[in-house]
Amino acid sequence: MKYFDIVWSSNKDGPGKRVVLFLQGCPLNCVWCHSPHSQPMEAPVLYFREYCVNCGRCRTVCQQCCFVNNQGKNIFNRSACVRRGECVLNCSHGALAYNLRESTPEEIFEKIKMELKLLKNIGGLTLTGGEPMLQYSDARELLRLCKEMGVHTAVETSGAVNPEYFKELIYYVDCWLFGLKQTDVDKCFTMTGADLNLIRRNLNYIASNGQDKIIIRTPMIEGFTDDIDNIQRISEIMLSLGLKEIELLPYNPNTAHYYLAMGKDFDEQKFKLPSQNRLQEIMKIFEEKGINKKIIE
Amino acid sequence: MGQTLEVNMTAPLRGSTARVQKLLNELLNKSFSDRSGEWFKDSMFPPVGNEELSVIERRAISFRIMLEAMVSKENSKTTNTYQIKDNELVVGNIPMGSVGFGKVYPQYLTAEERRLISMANRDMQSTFGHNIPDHKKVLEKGINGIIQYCEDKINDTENSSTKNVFRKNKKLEFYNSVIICCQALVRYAEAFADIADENADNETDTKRQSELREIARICRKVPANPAETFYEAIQSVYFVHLALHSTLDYISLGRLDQTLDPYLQKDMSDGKITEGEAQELYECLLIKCAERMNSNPAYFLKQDHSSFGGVFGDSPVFLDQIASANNFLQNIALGGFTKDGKDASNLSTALILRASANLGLPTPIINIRLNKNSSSEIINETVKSLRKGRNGMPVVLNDDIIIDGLSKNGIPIEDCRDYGVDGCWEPILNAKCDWVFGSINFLTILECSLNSGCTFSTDPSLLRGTKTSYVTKNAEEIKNVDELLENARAHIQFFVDKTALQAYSFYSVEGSVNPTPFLSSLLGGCLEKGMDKTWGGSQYHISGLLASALPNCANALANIKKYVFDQKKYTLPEVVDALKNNFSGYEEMKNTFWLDNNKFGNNVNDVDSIMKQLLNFLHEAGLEAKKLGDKTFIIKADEDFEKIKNNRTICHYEGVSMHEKYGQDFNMIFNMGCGTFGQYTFNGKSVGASADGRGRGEPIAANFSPVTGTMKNGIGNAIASLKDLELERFPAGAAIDFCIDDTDGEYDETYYENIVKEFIEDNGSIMTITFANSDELNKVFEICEEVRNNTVSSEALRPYAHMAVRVGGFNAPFITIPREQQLTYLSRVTK
Repeated sequence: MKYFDIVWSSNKDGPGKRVVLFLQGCPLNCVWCHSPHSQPMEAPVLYFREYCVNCGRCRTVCQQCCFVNNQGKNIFNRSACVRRGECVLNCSHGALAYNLRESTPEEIFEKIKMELKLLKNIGGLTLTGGEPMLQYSDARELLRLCKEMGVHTAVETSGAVNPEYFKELIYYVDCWLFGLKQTDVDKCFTMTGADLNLIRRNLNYIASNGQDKIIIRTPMIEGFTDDIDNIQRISEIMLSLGLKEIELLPYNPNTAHYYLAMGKDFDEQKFKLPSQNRLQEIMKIFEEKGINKKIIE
Repeated sequence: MGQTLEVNMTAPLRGSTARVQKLLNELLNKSFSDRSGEWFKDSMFPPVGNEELSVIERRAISFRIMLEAMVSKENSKTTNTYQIKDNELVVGNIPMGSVGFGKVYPQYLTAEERRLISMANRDMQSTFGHNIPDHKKVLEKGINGIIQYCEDKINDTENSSTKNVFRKNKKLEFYNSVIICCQALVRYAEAFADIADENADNETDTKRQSELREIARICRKVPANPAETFYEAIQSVYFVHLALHSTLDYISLGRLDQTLDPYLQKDMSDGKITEGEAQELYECLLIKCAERMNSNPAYFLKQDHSSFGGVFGDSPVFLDQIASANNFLQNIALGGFTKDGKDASNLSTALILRASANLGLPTPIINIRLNKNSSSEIINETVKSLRKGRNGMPVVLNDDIIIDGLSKNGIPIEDCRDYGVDGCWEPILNAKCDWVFGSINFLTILECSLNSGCTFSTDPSLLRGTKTSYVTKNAEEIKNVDELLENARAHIQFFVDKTALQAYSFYSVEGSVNPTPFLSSLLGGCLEKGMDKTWGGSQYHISGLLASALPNCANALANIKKYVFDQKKYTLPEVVDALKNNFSGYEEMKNTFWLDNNKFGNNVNDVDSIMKQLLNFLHEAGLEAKKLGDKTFIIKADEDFEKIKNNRTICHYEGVSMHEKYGQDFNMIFNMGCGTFGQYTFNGKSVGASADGRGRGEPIAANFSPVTGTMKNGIGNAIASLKDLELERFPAGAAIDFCIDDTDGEYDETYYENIVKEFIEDNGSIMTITFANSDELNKVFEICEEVRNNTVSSEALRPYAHMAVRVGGFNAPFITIPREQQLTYLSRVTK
């Protein structure tokens, strides 16, 4: 399994206190994505130029000659990067990072089971990412081991993957954190690159296997997901499927960080938190429909 | 200085009653103020004189002079030692002093002795404290009972027809000294009865007046006579505690719930006291013990009264004075087993846990003894207290491991079950045991192992470095990891021998400089034998050896094994060169070593098996050292006397065996442990860079905790790392300290209960859990920086004076610990 982080004790990623495994790779490219480095299956070397002192050690060790000294500034030209990681090991200033790790499901289970033991009955394991469903086969094995141990399992997904994957996993997942971001077909495609019909088909399928196992999650981004039409549609989809829980995730204003570290541009001005008034309005809509709503800060 | 505590969000009013809240606020304000004027001055004591008398008698006279000086109205104008504060229920005041600041005390050593001690690295302040006096004895017999016992013994001794005049005289000196101390304490208590009556005469509030009359009655009764009520018992215990802490002996309160609960139960069934009143009295007692606190670092320097002898162990650089500013070595052990193996937890266990959490004070240190069968109620009380106090208390001790370890070292099981806690967290036998300890640094051992017995030095006049231990194979000659481990084994033996032998020879000096008759009268064995504890009088003698930097050493060896011998990425001489040069020019190596996940505390087999190997070596070295020590010092030499005598001379010990000198019962129990106490920054300064990726002079791991910043796999794995280490071999304790960020504000009590249970289940030894809000700590650190840079006044720290953190061996207000320790603490917080 390819993963880039483990959080050992989180209160924000599913019911109770949980171990959270962040899997690498995502078929979507949401314009507001706050972990763009999780999207490609081959994670990028991250370069935090604010920590770079241009000592030049990366230039000495990189066999692909990716680093260039340009007028006293160190430039990372990543097109030839093969992720050997020598530059990361040679950087003493914390300016370079490569977080991708690869293990078998059994190895990961060994690694997390002592913490899961502490969380038994008060939480469990959450797979997120990236899109964890892309690694459904390994994910199934990991979740199976957890279920054998009696640990509660959750998977956070965008739903935009091959329906077969859901069939593979359905019996090993106690809770789905299911993303409904933008429910207008065209907007959904433009903003996230995903096919809304596929997402809805998958949601229908898992709902038919247990409505109370689903928590809908919607990021709150002004001008992208907070329009009342979208909220109305989400609530209608939820009601039609008998779904009772939604979690709203306000936009993370510190998103630019990883884009810059990947050598990408990011327009910070473009994305904002919705206003408090709008959030209240949205909360009210869900309340009126009898949907339990929660804002995850 | 403002007289009222600024009420703010971070310092909620604490204490179970309005009375306690007032006393606590008064204490917090006082502790933030300049207390340098409250110290005693040498001029306040008449000379001890009597140079013709023995040192123990002079020590007893100094004890009397000190207690008398404390109830002088004239002295009290500055020292505040002879007063009863409004609202107080427990009375008596300990003068200023702490482990870090030292003490002011009547000089009882003669001019000649004071020159001779230059040879011994000891002086008056070297009195070791660290013991648990027999409070039960005082409660049951009263101090008068002890005086009577001594008088009878004096009669017997004088009338005995022993030929050994020397021993007879020593006995008489001892009993006379005990009597002098006991009488002084009784008079001290009576002086408080007088002032209570005096205050009552002038008191207009009738309720307070009757409280004061009750205080007067109690002080006339205890500690002279047996206590009959809970209130009398609590006051009696405090008087004894106070007398010892005022006279150089920083001792523990022992198993307070076992000592006091029978009195509470009786009073409750007689309808004399409610649970709430008992709660209040416990809180009053804890506040009294904490009254010497200092929370404003601006006034620390003025209060430095520590002397060259005021250190622990064998080395003068063993003490981090600033971090120890609020260390008083006063511990309370709760729960555990009764002597006959039943669950000892009682109502007082819970009341004291709650009292500590209600107050949130860094001292006294509360310890809870748990085991696999501990009730869910007591585990829940433990977690509630941890959560509410947020200061790392109670410390959790695993009885299954510690009792097993003590008993394997030859102590009868009933006495093992009756252990308490002294000093920082060391398990020690209740009321009948002496304790001494030394420390070894596993990074020094590793330096010697890599560098043929030398530590790394940058001094150009040296070749390999500072010669410290045996010459062993150098880096060029070491061909595989086993050879390196063999080197380590040799150096472990060297340092263990050195420290263990010093513990034996300790007795040959201590008794001539620091006899302590009053404490001895309350340590099982001494009174019966007529021997001070420093003359080997107490029933048990435990010598502790604390191994520090084990996590760093195991991590470093795991890296060397992997990168030098398995992958051959570096050669060993390269690694040694890098370490000598603090990784300068070897940045890639430093990062490789630091970033490798093969680190102790992550439940990773490679490094954990190296840790096990090191512990095996340490354990074996300890057994060998005890054999050698016993043979050299203790056992009577039947043959080869000249050879043994010669060996004793090598160890600076002359004359007959300790069995002949102190009696056939004299023993030395060698308890090893793994820890640093508060000294992990200090100890790190004396060692070079290490192959775990740590730079020269940087802090070492706190206690037996994973190295700061390397605990990557969660608490569950950190605890699991302990499971197969057989920590029962180290009954001086192997302490692991966790600091958990609970910024989220959400928590699940069950999670922390599970952590405690898992720790017991996985054979852990000692654990602390401190809760912290890392944002808040960072903010407070920034304010501390500004205060250090003189950009804001230290007054800015006042709102944070109550925030206590765990510093390895004790608790201290965060704002008072040294900068490096603050930084270490900040990076220790796990989310």
